[in-house]
Amino acid sequence: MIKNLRYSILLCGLLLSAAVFAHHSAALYDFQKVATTTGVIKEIKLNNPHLHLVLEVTDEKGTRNITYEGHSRNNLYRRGWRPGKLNVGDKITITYATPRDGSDGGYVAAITAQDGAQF
Amino acid sequence: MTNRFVIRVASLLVLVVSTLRLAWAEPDISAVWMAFASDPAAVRLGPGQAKLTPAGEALVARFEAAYGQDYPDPGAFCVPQGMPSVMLSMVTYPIEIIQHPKRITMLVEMEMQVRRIYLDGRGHPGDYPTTRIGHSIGHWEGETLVIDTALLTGWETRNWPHTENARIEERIHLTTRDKIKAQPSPFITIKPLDDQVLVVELTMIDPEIYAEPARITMYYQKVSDDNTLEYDCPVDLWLDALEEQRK
Repeated sequence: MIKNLRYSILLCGLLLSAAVFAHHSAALYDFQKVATTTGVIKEIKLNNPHLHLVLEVTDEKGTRNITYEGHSRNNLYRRGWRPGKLNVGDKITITYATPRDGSDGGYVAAITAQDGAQF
Repeated sequence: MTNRFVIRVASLLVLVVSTLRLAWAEPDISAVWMAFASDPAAVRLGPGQAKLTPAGEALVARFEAAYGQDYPDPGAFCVPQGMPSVMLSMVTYPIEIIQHPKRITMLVEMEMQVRRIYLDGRGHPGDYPTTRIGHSIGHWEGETLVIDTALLTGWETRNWPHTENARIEERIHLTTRDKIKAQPSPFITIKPLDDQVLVVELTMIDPEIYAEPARITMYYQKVSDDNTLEYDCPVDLWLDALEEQRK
């Protein structure tokens, strides 16, 4: 319950805060249209100014690698990420703003790690 | 007897002077601060938000004609954007303020920018180059810190455009959370250390391109200093570039 509530708050933040993301990527992503997906980490760079993530995703289109970007390493740290929490091969769930042009990928705003930690 | 009397009077004087000094002391704004709300809510100056002069509109139009409205954001390339951008971040990047009687230093995590605000009575130098962070001098008016920033490098995007002649005035004071009417950003989930709020009233004055001064008020909450990190963003961009050239 608490987990769900916390996740809802994160999601709410994502939905309502398009203006704050305008710093980087508002032109590319629709922050009113968010999605959630689960996949296996194939590549991850927890960088500033952005997270770079390649996730192996299986959906109705089949299995493929999709590239996402997301919050900076510093902001993920402040949301609870710690070194070693996200590794290649981990199965994670992401919530992300979808690209305006309808392509794969998106801007990751919330992550549930393999051990259930959310940030 | 006389000695005792002198000692008592002296002690009393010390007590009175100390009390008065405390009463007159400037507020202590040393802390790690994080913006959680603003008025207006949008920290970027979108089209139609700022009243620009015809010359101001022409400046921005020239930039947008050349690069479009969806131009690459400098933040995505770790470009330190200076003032007023550093004071307007609502994406959890903290600002550490170190206060001394004659100098206030602001360590801005985003793009690792530093503001030095001189309180020793000096003016702006006449032979100093422009920079994006500018040259800042300040003084206390009662419990309000007043900062004047000049010598700014020109900025042509619609997001707080300015010329080299721009001045930015900030009036900064402490208050408490219950007095803030602006809606807190839902993105800021970090808990504050206490209910103190640092209010920064920022005014952009640049008559050449603003028909009237553009204003925004930012509200910062105090957070733990373990929220601060190095913003080693340019290193990552360099490593990415190296990787692209790997043989």
